[in-house]
Amino acid sequence: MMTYIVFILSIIFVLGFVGFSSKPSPIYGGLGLIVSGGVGCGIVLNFGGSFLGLMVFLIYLGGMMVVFGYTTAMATEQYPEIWVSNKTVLGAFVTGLLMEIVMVYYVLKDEEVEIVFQFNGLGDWVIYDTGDSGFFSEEAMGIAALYSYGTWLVIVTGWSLLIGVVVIMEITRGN
Amino acid sequence: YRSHLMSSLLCLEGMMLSLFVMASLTILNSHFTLASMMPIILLVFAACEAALGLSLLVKVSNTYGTDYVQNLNLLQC
Repeated sequence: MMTYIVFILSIIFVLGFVGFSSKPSPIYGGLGLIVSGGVGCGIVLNFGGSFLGLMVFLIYLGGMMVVFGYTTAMATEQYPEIWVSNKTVLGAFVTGLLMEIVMVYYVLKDEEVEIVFQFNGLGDWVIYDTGDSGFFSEEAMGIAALYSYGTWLVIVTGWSLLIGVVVIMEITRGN
Repeated sequence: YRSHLMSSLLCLEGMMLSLFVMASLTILNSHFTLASMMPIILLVFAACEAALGLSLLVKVSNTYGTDYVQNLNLLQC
């Protein structure tokens, strides 16, 4: 089962996406996004990207989703809609679920599915170890290069974050 | 059936998450070490975008009480 763990996690990833794109009440959409975020972190971790996967948990779920949760709690309605309470939402969810099941069935049967591009079976995304990787994780070294090769990038993103804060304060100031 | 503006922001966040995961997997698989900073930069700008979208939603919610999309009907043909 462990050899197919990425495949299983990617199925749960897509199901989480179907869960919030069928547009239930935003609280439950946020729940689907949290599930997708956690499982997406697991997928990235399985490819050896430990820093990037934990960034998803920390920044994406811990930062952005918390803010979304608070804003939803502020602007929510009295009777929120879950997936089974409204036929539109349930229909969209079931449609997405069926499409995912059909795709999984074809992948398991034929080892290759070609819709827009080729899903080459379950063993496609195997990391090819080309050469000696040394004693350090090359992914962490690549991210550490942000501060040496990517100095201008740091300056631009830091400045745009500051400008974003100023813009948001101007928007919410009102009057 | 009432559509929330918040659902569109959640779908945008979902798109950013899927872009992040796809970019991370491609970069890790092809051992393109120097591009490992790109998903982080993507996340930074996605956070900016989410925060801006949320501030607009807060203003809409302050004016109309709820964030239903049907309330945004000032421009009528």
